[in-house]
Amino acid sequence: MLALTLTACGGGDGDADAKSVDDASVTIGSTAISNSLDPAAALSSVGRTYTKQVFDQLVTFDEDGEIAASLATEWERVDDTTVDFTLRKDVTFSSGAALDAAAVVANVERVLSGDPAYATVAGRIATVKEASEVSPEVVRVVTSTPDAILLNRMTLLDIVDPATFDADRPAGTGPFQVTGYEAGTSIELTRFDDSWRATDSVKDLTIQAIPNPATLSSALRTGEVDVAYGLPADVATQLEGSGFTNVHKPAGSSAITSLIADVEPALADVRVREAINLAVNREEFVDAVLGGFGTPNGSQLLQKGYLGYDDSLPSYEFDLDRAKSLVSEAGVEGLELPIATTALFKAPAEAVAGYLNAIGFKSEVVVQDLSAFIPTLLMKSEYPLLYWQTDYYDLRDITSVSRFGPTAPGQQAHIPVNEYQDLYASQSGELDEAKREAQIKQMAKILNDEAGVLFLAWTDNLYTVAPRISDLPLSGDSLVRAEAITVSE
Amino acid sequence: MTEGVVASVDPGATAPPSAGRGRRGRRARRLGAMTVRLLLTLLGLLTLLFFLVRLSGDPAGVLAGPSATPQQLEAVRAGLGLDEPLLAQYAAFLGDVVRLDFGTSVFSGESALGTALGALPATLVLLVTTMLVSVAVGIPCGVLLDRGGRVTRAVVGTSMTLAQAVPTFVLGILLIYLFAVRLGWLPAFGSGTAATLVMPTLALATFAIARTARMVAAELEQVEDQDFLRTAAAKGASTRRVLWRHALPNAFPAVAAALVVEISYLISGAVVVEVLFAYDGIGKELVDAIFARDYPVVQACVFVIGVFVVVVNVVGDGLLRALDPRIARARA
Amino acid sequence: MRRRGIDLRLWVPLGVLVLTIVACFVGPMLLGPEAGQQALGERLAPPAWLPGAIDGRPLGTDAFGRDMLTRTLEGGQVSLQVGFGAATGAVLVGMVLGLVAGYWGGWCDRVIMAGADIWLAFPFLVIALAAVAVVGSDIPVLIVLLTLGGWVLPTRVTRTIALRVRSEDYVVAAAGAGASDLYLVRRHVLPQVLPANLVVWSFTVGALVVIEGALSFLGLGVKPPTASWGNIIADGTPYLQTAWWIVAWPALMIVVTVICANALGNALRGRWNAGADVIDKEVVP
Repeated sequence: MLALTLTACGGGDGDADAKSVDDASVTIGSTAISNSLDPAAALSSVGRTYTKQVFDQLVTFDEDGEIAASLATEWERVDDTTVDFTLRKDVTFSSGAALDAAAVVANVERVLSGDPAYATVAGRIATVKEASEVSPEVVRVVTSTPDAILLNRMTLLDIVDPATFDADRPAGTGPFQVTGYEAGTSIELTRFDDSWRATDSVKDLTIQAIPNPATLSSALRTGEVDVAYGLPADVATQLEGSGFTNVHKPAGSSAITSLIADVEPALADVRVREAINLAVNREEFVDAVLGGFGTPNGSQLLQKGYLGYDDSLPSYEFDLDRAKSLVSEAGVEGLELPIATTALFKAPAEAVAGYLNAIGFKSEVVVQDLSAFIPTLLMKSEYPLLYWQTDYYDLRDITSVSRFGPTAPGQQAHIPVNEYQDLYASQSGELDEAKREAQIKQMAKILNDEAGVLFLAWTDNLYTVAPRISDLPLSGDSLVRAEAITVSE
Repeated sequence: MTEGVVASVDPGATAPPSAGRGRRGRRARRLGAMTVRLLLTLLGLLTLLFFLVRLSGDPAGVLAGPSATPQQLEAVRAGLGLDEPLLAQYAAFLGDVVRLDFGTSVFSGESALGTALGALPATLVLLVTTMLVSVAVGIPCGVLLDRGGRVTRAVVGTSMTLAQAVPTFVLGILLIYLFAVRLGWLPAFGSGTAATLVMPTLALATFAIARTARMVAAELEQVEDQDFLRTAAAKGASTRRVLWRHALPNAFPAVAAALVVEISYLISGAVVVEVLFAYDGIGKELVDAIFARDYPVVQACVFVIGVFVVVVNVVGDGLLRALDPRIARARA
Repeated sequence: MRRRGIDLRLWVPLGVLVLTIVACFVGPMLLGPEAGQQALGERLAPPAWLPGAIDGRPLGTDAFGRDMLTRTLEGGQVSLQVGFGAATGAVLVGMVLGLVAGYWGGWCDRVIMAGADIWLAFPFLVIALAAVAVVGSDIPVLIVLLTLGGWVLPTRVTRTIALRVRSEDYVVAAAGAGASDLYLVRRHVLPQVLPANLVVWSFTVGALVVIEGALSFLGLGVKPPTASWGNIIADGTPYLQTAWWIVAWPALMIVVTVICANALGNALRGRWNAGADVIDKEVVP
């Protein structure tokens, strides 16, 4: 599916005839940029477009989403809780220092130090207990419990030159280095010629924050930015008529709506949950709201290519009449079902509200600031429905959707099914891949049988690209590989 | 402008009655009253915002990220001191404000006051150009409204009515569409260059131009009836001379006074304009910080804006007194 | 114009405003509930006179396939409720405070007027932003909030008039003859305060409709899919290039409403002389 999507949509228009230029300048406009130049303090996905250009990780995802070598060229599982990584030779930081095992150890220790500034990254490598130097080329990482996805986790730890931990501009090993920074506004990067990943194509790269999508689209049209991330799908589609290209790739993210019975007891009735699942025309939803940049999904969280994806699970299909009769059977006509979400997802949530209103519910969208929505999502919601998109393109594993797993005290359960939560807990420590796959499939079946969640679609990451960029390659985690951009004359 | 209703200077609203003391005594009293007002304004503003931004959401969620566990969330909250009782946080906050210590941004780690002050110049530039444009265009329009022929008056009057009725955000969208997208003359967003200043200024100044024009026209009408103008005209001064040498200078203080009072309205308008045009001023900084619940930056921005508004009022008031002795008499 | 019986400067804006209100509140009922509902298959259809239009959608559809005529009228319900409601609230609050300050004077006067001065120094939109982010954004909340945004002007106008009336000879004489404060206020002060505040109310409606629009535009208005003129404009902005009609209708409605409200205020000011000079000094639209 990956390859297909890329051929179909990735800048296929004439890279062959257009002459490419070296040392180009490229500007990427995004609705938000990294809040910090320090990758360990950067927020989850917003900062990744920046950190990917300046820093490397021990391992990474290749274009197909498989684990591939990066700063580590080989790795070996010593026992259930220990993995040794052998480092790539002759890698230097832009500060001039050489990469060695001690540097990696220092990075792990910094993130695990308990400093709240690093909480996001600490959460990503939560199972890691310690790292130590075996030799200057070999790092040993030890986890507190057996961790099936330690390698996936290590794709999220950016390695910084320890000498520059407290510097204004931390140094990395990636193909670019920071030359200018205005907090929250723009990051200017210039090629780091001695990087092991450096290429000739792009010399200057600017990452510019333009929060208003309308302004962002204007900026793309006027040529002030070459690549836009965060445009509404509709706008992106409109731009295709003016010579712009849309490059998109499944990001592993699943568009869903949580149905929280703790807030609205009527949601404990499986007929109500089923009615909700039958109310949505998912093909129409993807076409209209996601601009076609996604795959309709009414069956499960994980998509093809992920461990535990189950081809045979049935998908809930749009059936207005059955949905309506289930609503009247359950006696919940006129039930108020407000949907909480954050500004980013306002349009898809509004479409869901429209579908629910069509089968006799009363639904409206409550747009919360991210700062209010995250506690709503993580801890306790006052609203029965939550529209969100799972953010697991960074782990490419079911473990990322911890929200449906076991709950902590004070935390609201989204899936109050003990069997699901037990399976979630046991699969993460299961090192036998076949057994683990069976467990994850069983989890998917439970969610499907119970209609426990409203599945909508698997969404793509979408970049809209100016005509002068003839190729915009994306990494396995659907982020821009700026050093490999091809700019035509 | 986003707000249409503006109360103009009300002479003597808070000024204590003249007690017939010396000029120095009056000035000291006035300064004292100003200082009290400044402090009250700041305290009120800071207190209101302090509680408002804390009543829902906090930066811990944004910092920890959507994939955090509840324990991590709690740890981040404790690390930021957000687990203390609200009143204790408020007391500590007031203590810090007295020492001008606003702490550091939760997200960037940079000094909050530095962040706020760093964003102020861009807004100042925007406000100054807006005021200049509104005076430079508004005064001629006002003269035309009062002195123009029938057709001119109708055309200018209609334009001014429109200018007062089109909201800033609608005007801004139209400007972007016309000048950036259709014509490609101006950058659609950004700050730092002269070109990026044009559209935000236009969007912000349109309402002020109309107000200035109406005010100038009204003042001219009033001033024309006064004796000294009739005397000047009788002495054979040309109409133009009467206008420029006598009538306009007399209208000027009222216009200037309105601009000073309008500063907080202009700042409200600037917030919308800065967000719309991604113009890096203090308004956009503040809105971003409110949405992210970056408390230190919210407080520092509010403090800087509050001080700025009050200082403009105080300085403007002083200048007006120097400009027009009648105001000084009226307010004494 | 008045000599011929009808004052057009008064009745034209008043007529348009009444017509707008009736259309917004009655129109959607006539058009039926179906028109305002989501129909993703019919999205972004142009108005009737353009190629590609859909029958029964005379002003086109929005990004969710909803009828723009219905949406614009429904949006008006919210914007007008908030604008008229908050303006009424502001004038009521202002009259009470202004009477207290102007008629009784003393420390009441000083506190109220100092409060007004301080409040004016606050950039109101900033406070509104923070408040809506916290308490949410239902129509009642918006009305209360915008009442806070508009109370200073009627307070000042009322106070100045009350102050002046109180020192008139006949009022002083009546007070000397033992007339009660309440009687004096009702008999002498209110008749002058009311018309002046009707003028202020008119101008305030226009101003508050715009502020409601700005808040909705920044994403802090009523909850979607409920429409308001501001949030329709915000949602339509990205489609300006290809579907201009989404932004055009609500923008037009705001502009017409504000022009009419201001024109009505001007006409009323010309009609009643009571307090006209005070209003001239305080309001300069």
